[in-house]
Amino acid sequence: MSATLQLALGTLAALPGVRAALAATASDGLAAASVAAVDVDADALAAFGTALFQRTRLANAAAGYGETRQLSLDAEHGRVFVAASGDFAFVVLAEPEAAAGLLRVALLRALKAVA
Amino acid sequence: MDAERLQAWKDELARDGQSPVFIPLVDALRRLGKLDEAHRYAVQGLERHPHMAGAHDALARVMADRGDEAQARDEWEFALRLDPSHNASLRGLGFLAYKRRDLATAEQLLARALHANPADDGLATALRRVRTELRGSERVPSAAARNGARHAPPARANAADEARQLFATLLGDGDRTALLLDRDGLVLAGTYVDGNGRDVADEIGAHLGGLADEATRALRQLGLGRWESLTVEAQHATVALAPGLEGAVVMVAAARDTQVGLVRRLLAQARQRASAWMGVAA
Repeated sequence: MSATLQLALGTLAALPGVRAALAATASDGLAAASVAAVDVDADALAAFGTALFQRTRLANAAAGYGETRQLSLDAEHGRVFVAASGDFAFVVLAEPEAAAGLLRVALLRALKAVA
Repeated sequence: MDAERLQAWKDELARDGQSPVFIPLVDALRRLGKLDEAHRYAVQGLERHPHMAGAHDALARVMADRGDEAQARDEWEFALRLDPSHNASLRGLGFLAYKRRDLATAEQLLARALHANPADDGLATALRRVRTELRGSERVPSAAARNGARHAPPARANAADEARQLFATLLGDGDRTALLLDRDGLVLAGTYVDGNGRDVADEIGAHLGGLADEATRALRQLGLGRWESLTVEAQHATVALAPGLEGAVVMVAAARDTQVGLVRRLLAQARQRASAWMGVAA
């Protein structure tokens, strides 16, 4: 894991309410590196987050909405955030009450840093 | 769909060309939008299993996603010759009939499919919808005749328009659009208009079919409970999605400069309207 990626993941994981932050390949959903709470299945999170991103990316392309930047999914017991550029994606799992705005900005910054 | 499972299916096919795993593989590739690859595996599978109804169904789905409804229909009809109660083919032909507004045929096919698989809630909803529209289309001409109208209005078009316009009053005149998809990505109501005014609802449905089920499964595995909403930020639009009744998905898209809070409010309203609309004939 490169130092930049390590720093980006560490920064994301340190944000309030974050339970996991991981880097994955967007096309096949394989987790490349992660910082996660022990009860989080990082591989499953990477596969789900990137698959969801790919689907919405294709739908947005079909609708002519341009490049898909990020998504956030709200569930009963948590929130999943995904931001991707090319074949690289960051996936973050946070508590339901985590600040969405802060996380979105942090994700885009992290993506920019490792691009 | 995780990449490992896709690769495992491909490996199994490489080892054993007769394996039936080409069917879930084609379906997964299709849902990922990899239609050329899905087509290749579907054709290979069909060559090896020409008498398997599921092989014809797999190719039909790819062709339907490619917009080649004639070949999709041929494949589903062939599948039904092999297996007259083949559920997926009845369903596929039913939805094609619904799309071309042949409601009587759609009703007949979907009823047969439901008879073969009574536990399919999505199918039951679709059939109720078709029957409601069918009843509406039967009522309108007689009313017109009673009023002495010389030209009865095209009732089927009215039912279709009603579905297309379901969200129109919510969305206003801005750059907004909304859609209701069933669990397989079939467009039930609304429109999805791209920047050039073209309705791309069917394409969107093809990409997002199965999303609700996939999200439900994955979130259960991750211990996150039910999914409540999904917000996607693209270069020119913000898109928000939420689960509807019986595995359906409601989605709203608005121009990028629309506040995310407003998009979410529109989504909540669209979801409410979609639930009421789907429940009408329940």
